[in-house]
Amino acid sequence: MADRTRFAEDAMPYASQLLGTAMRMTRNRSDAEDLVQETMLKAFRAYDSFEPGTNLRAWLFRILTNTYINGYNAKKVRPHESELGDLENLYLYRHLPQLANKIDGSSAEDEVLALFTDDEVKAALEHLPEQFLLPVLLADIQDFSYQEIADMLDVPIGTVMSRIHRGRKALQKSLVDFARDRGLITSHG
Amino acid sequence: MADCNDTIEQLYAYLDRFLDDELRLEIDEHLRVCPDCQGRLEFEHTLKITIRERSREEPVGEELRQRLLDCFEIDLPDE
Repeated sequence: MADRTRFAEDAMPYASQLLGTAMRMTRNRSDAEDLVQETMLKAFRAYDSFEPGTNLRAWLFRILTNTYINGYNAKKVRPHESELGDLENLYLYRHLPQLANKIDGSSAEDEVLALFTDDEVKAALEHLPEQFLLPVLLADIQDFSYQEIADMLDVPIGTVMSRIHRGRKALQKSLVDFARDRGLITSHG
Repeated sequence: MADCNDTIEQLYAYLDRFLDDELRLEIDEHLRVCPDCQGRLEFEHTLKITIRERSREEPVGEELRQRLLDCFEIDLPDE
């Protein structure tokens, strides 16, 4: 019983991160909560197989990811990566001067990025094509290495890298589109 | 020697520390002398950090917290 309590004490601090990722995956709070609950339940049932001292956070996220893939990702339709075409590097960076004009010409990056609301940032992530979503979430939001992600998703490391890179560009395109919708950017390109 | 095009091409791999030593050093060299590329790199890094900070966590709330604790079939004191 002491082990079980200890495991709960160790795992619960990760709940808010698991929920954050679950929200970006499922795009609604109710499904995200179910996903996290299912994850914790599976983790608890499998805790005998968890080696104390190893990376609990990675282990929990692996369970979350697998649970999502196996039960939740059919629920919503996402844009397909092929709709995006070839996006150039530095997509958002190239639009900075126009955005900067909206805040008295200051080019301080933090201020420009502050133009985007939290909802837009989250929506940009949630709008990612399915192929890019998990790699970007796991790499950029939750800081796992390419190797850890390759293991979690069971794809080659080169594929992980490619999807992260293309996903970042897709993310930037979404942010630029939001800025365009709000009239912060007027030109096309 | 890496130039701006090379650096932009490899920007993400560089940021992710996924380049082999030789190419990484060439880009280090280029960054030393190119403020434009430094700016690009810094922006991509800042963007990543910003997105992360603003989307990484969601507040769990008492109701979900209790449901999760129920998964472990134990009681934990309130945080």
